[in-house]
Amino acid sequence: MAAATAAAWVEAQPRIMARLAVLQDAAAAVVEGELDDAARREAEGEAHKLAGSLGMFGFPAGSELAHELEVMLDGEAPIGADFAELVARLAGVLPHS
Amino acid sequence: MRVLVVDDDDVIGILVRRILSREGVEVVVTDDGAAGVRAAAEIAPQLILVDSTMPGMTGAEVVEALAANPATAAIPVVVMSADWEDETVGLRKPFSPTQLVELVRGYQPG
Repeated sequence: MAAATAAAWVEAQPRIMARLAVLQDAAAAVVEGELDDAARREAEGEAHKLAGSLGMFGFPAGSELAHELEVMLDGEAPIGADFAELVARLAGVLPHS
Repeated sequence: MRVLVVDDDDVIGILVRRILSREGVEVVVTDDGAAGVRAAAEIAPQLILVDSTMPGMTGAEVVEALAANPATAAIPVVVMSADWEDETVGLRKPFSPTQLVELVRGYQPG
């Protein structure tokens, strides 16, 4: 089963990294105070998908961090500077090669 | 055995197909609810895994449509969700490969 999961990771990794990139763009926009609602909803959707999938590939901390990001993005409350820090932590738990 | 996966997250389709194909299970994936309802009637799977939150038809609407069609009403459906506060889902994401295989084995005919 580990081989199947590893093969799935190889196939899915580009999609996962594209989702991470959306969150990184959102984090940069938050820092600049320029995160509009459309970008926020897109980032929320990608965080939701990451929360639901990363744990399956052996990255439970990634799912937890993505869930925290999803909760922060939900609604319209101001997003704090810790958002970018969480996104950086999420990037840190994922293999990039 | 044939399993239909209805989920707008293509990563879930990739993972389920990779894991279950090694168990000898045929996996058909659709990425939206309406296509899932049509596919269920066409391929008659032994089990349907449907995501609760999708654009277009939601998981609940898919379940309702399947139940309303005599051709699909008897097919077991398990709702998946990454909504961690939802206590009603059948398979909470992220699930482990072992959880997935054990769940599907429970629906294997014969």
